[in-house]
Amino acid sequence: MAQIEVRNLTKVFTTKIATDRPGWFGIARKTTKSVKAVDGITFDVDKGETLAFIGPNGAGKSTTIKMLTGILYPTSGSVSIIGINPWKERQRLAFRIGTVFGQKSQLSFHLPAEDSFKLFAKIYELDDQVFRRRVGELVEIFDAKDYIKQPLRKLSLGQRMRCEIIASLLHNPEIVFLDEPTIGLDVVAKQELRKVLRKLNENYNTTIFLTSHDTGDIDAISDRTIIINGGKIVFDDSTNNLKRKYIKTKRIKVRFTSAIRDIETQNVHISRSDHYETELEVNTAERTIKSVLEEIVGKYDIADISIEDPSLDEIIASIYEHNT
Amino acid sequence: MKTRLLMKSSHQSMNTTLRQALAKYTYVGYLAYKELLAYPASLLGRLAIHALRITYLGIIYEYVFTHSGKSAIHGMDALHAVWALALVQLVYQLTGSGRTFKHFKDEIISGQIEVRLNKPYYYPLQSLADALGQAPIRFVLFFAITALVLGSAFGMPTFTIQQKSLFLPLLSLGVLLFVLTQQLLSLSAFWIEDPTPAWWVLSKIAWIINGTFIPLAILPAYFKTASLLFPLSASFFLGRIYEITDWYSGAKFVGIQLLWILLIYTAIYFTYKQGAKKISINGG
Ligand SMILES: Nc1ncnc2c1ncn2[C@@H]1O[C@H](COP(=O)(O)OP(=O)(O)OP(=O)(O)O)[C@@H](O)[C@H]1O
Ligand SMILES: [Mg+2]
Repeated sequence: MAQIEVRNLTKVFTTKIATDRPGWFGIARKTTKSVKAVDGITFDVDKGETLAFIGPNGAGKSTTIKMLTGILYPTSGSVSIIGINPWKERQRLAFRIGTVFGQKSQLSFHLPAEDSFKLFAKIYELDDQVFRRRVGELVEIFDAKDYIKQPLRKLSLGQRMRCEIIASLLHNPEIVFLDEPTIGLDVVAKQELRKVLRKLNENYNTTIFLTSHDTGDIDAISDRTIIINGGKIVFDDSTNNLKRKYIKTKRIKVRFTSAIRDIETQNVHISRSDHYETELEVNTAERTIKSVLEEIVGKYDIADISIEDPSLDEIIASIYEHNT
Repeated sequence: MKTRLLMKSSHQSMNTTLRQALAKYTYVGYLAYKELLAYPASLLGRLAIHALRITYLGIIYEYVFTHSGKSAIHGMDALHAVWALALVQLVYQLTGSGRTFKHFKDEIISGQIEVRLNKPYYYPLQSLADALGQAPIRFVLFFAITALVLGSAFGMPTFTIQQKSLFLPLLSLGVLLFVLTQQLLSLSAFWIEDPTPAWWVLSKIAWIINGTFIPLAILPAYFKTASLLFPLSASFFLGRIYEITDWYSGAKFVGIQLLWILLIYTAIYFTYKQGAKKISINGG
């Protein structure tokens, strides 16, 4: 039996919205509107897997995580996490899983994270010795020793997020669900967080279920990727296959020191160009990044250069293209 | 033999569960206490405002009593009227002036309550522990400043034996009831947009009918009756301690408080359940 089993999971939200027609005292009349946030998704996750659950804004990622952790009842479908039905046995499940919500802090804003950790130890009914050892290990892995004694409000977002994740791991959960843990972090903090999550998986074989709308997270953390769009799964395969099939192009942005009339390279698509700046799309199946860079650097005077992955929207567009 | 073993182990695990639950909420209270001490300036500010408020109300009371030409109105003298009002204020300050209402309601409105739902604790109890954790230290500080200010400006009151022994029950039940009432009100945030105005009006009504602005002694008698019927008022029964003349009248106050606590806790239990279900089903 897989650790996480999701079958035909669907969530429909009904919300009241104001209409244009005025009602009593000029207050707009309300009508209800249904949104299918998650639309019949099915998948399994095995113990120790690292899964990125990605999709654009409003795709249904948070809604899915909330159903898997027992916060929301589904409209239909079934979920089993370590054999537990999340919304029927929310508290029992809570002892076995960790959750991190990027936009919602679980720690006291006014106190040092260390104090909140002690509270978590009580909440999760941990033995004192077990707790101390566990905190020691996690603080080491997350390199958080310097700031867990400072009030949370004095920490940077990246530091705070590490503390949030440590808190969610104190009771040694078998699975950790993270909803947008890298949101708002700068590039360096993102990289570091990705590294420690990876390490966590390697050290404890903790299953990682992470949502994001950042393609960078997939590459660094997860062996497997599910892409959700409009509440439906549009891709579920290894991250390597995703890259091989759909992230074939890289975008190179080049800025020149002096005006260039026309840039000339072979097997490269020039998506945008003026005299000082150009944007190239390289299909890595046709030409390596290395050879393109070497050519450009050799031929022109470069002021700045950057290499980017295609955006999630582009990947999804190419998945749809491929499927039709 | 076998059954006895089983019974023993289930008895033990019951004990452990209880102990662990107690440890959880005690620690929540302890952290709330630490949080209070983390902001000494704001605490000092509140103490100063409390001292000022009871001093100037005391001055007005004394003036009213002196100019009425009577030493006592409806059996109460100026000194005890001043103290009665300070005791109403004391209950209010021990709960952090509506702190529970604000926190609880904000958690519901912001959706933060969602992350509370998947923690192994019961959120209303967590919130209660948070409020009660701050009460003892607040009591020490606010009672000390009240005694200092009123004692030096007007003198210390006298208490009968009944009043002395009912002081702590009236205070602690009052604080408990006040926190619970705040929770119940904030739970309405699941259905209405913002219950703050309702809270504001209700808490001010409670003050007025308990004689915070004008001593209950000089108000018409129906204020006293209203105060008996209004749940928030029962929180402030400590301010009516001087009406306790025998055990029976004391027991009446405590009994009403206990009744309201029971009723409001039951209401919280069901309202919270409905609220949590509403989040789960509609998404808040
Ligand atoms: N509580 C709610 N009530 C009504 N509609 C909701 C609620 N929560 C989410 N939705 C709707 O469900 C859809 C999916 O939302 P969800 O929060 O799961 O998206 P997401 O993938 O997490 O997006 P984001 O990247 O912006 O966090 C959206 O259309 C959203 O408007
Ligand atoms: Mg989201």
